[in-house]
Amino acid sequence: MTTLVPLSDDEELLFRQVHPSFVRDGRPSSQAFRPTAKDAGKLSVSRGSLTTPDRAFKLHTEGLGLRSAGTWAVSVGECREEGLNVLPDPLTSPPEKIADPAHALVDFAPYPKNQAEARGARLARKAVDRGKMHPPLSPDGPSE
Amino acid sequence: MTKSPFVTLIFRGGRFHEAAMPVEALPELAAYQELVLAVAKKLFQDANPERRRLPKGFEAGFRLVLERVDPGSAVPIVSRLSDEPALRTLFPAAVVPDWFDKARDVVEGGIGAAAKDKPLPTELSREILARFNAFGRTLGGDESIVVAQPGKREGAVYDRLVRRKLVLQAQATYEDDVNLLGEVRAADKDAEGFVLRTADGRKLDVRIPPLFFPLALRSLGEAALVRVRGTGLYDQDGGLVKVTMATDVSLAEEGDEQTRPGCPTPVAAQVESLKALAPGWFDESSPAYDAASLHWLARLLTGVLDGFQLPRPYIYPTPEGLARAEWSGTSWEIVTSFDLGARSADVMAARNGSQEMHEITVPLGEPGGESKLGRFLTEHLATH
Repeated sequence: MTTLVPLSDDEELLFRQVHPSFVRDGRPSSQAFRPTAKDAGKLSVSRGSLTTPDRAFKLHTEGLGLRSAGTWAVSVGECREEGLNVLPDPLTSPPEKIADPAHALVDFAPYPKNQAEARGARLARKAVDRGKMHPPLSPDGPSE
Repeated sequence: MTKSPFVTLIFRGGRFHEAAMPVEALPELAAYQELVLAVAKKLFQDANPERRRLPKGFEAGFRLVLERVDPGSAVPIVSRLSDEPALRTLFPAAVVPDWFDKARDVVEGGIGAAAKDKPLPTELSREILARFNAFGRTLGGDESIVVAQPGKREGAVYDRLVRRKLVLQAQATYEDDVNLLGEVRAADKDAEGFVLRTADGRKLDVRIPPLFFPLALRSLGEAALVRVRGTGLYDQDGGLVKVTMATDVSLAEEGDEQTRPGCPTPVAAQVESLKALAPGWFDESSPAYDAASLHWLARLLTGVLDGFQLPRPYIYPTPEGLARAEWSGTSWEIVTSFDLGARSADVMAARNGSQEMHEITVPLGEPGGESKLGRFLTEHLATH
């Protein structure tokens, strides 16, 4: 069994797709930045060193047929500040529907639900401050 | 003339942290005196139904004075002046409570009952309950007055929510201060007022003294933002119905556009959007929302936000069927998860730049739940 080595480039961005129902007046909900109950403590992201915000968006929507209001980002360094390792998890097809070599997992598993919530809230703040990566904002303001 | 301690009023929160009594809060002492006097009159009349008039000197016999302000939040020492010998001061236990002592106790009891959603003392008639409109008018969302027996520091806690509960027992609306920012959309000199459109799209009738009419016309002509301060009429849900009298209308300052920053979309509209979600909106197990539960949520949030003068949260659905309200404060990220079935909320505040976290669970179907939620939010949304 291969031991996964956590990412260490603090500057690398990690892209996150946010469901449209989790965006209000352009602001994503912090629940999009922590795992759901079904995620087994791991949050899926796409590595900025291996893909771009728009390619990640297209893979999620056109490739996997899932809904997204857009791409937001946190960095590896921001995750590590929260005590969260980011583990590379490239997906191949088969068995997956679509290959995703940029896929990675932010590991919230060591933390109970409330602490995962707190970490997600702080990461969300970082993502909001960074701004929506894709689609780009229109000149008239938030697109959602 | 002797002085004897009559009541302990402890002003807490906000402006009172420095253990000083701001001048603008001093009318609360006068309002308290008027309230106790009104209750004392009622007590006398109930006990003496055959008498058509109060005894001579009844009202003049009740004079409260502010002796000093003690430390520990702001604790004005309120004493009663009396022409009696120093019996009250030297032998307080020997003094038989008079109408005013009893009235003080009824007021304290009424506040305590309202805070716990318990039945009010029967002595608090509708006419007297309406007088609570004047007491506590200057309190901010994070401020309260502890009303206690003389010499005691524990007593009934009176805040904006309790005040609203008491007044609404007597009437369908209550008065409170307003401080609004908006644009004048129509003016009517004959009606002595104008229509103000606020930042969140509400249109409110505002009654003004004639001296403010030229500025109102200027705002109308130039689409200039104005600030309106005065007295407003609120409904039972805490919604502002109209401005019954503006005491000041002035041009807005630069940067005034958001007096309560937060989500630009009103609570009602945000909650309405949850109603539109069909089953399976997120995944196969995501339920739709029950209309009655959402109505409860909207009323609760509106009441807490208005009662504690809080910024508007961003409201989201969750795949599990909860409703989630999020605030980004200066120092804290706050998430409140509402269990609409259990009528409870789990509140979590995570401090930015540290691992500090505070959390509470609030049973909102129990007395004091809204106040507990409001106080937690106020504490974590303060700008320090």
